[in-house]
Amino acid sequence: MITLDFLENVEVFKELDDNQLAEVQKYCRETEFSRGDKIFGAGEAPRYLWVVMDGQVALQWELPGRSALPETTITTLSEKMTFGWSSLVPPYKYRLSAYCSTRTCKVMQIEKDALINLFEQDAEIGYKVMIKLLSVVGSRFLNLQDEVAKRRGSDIMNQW
Amino acid sequence: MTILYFLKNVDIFKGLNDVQLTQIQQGCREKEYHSGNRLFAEGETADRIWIVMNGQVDLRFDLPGRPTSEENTIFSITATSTLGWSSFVPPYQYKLSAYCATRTCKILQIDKEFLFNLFKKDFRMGFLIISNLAGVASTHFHQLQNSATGPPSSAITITVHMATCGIATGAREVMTALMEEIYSSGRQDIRVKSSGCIGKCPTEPNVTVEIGGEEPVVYQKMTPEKICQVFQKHIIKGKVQEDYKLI
Repeated sequence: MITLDFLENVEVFKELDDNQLAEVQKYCRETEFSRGDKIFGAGEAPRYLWVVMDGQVALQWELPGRSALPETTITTLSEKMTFGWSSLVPPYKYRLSAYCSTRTCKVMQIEKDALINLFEQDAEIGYKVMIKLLSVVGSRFLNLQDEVAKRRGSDIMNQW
Repeated sequence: MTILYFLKNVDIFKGLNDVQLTQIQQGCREKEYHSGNRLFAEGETADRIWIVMNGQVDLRFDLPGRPTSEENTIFSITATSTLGWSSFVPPYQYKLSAYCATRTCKILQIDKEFLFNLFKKDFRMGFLIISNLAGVASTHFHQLQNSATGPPSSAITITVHMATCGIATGAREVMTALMEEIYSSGRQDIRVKSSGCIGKCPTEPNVTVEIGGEEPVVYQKMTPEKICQVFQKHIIKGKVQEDYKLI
């Protein structure tokens, strides 16, 4: 059972009041993964928005047909952090892959279709969640930019 | 062209009604830039959004200690596209630098605080604009991924002509479908650009494909389905799709 106490501290739900949290709560479910399990893969069509409840999740930048290398991890997420933002943003395709990076990890999954419907019915919830979700996209953009800078830096070094 | 008519076609105002657009119009101001002018620099405080009215703006990832260069352009945007989603994301600093890439370009600026005040009174407007801005950020994320997987000088360049006339006929959807195809293919040697009108408005959306030293091929009346076919058959297998060629 996902509690309101947990939900109110999740980064994308911080602006919601108790009634609004209770609406979101209806669509949340807990699930568990073991180290190395793939939670989702880049390019897949998303069904859920995800939140880390316990343990850690690594977001990796993979190219189709290639296996992930440890150095492609662009960030590691811990408790109350949200991932899978592309479930709520067109064209609805995961941009990165997510792996469980601790012995086990507990994650919350929220049905994206139910959330989108909820936002359509209650624009206040939609606005409050989407503005926080935009920040999640922004921080992933910075993580990616750091990785690109590293790669470009090494390209320049290699050209010497 | 009245500003209201223009605002209807702007990417982040998709879904808004005329009353909402009229409210936004009151916070718009126009500015003009010349070739090479910098609109904003990476790291500067982001306190407004920027919408291209005409011309082209290049978004560059300037490397520390090096002069700006076209090679570092992550992507280019043209009329009705928006920059500045970082204004709504802590720490409120621009993530890339923006330069005017045509002789002149005209920009609409809207202050973040002005928009926030509207959102407080109209959550529906706030929800739509912030969702659309997340879509813009998502596209930029994807373009950054693509730019980093290609070598600095790509052998293949695909240009989607995205002036207002192209966008009205579906150029943005064509661009999205193309990006997905490239991503799924795993190809790292393809550069995608957007640019202005090529003077063939009745055949929009037009897309130009340049492979190595070969003669560029311009495709007309593209749709997401047709660009996927062009990608698979021309780009991947080298067979020009004569049926779609602009004559």
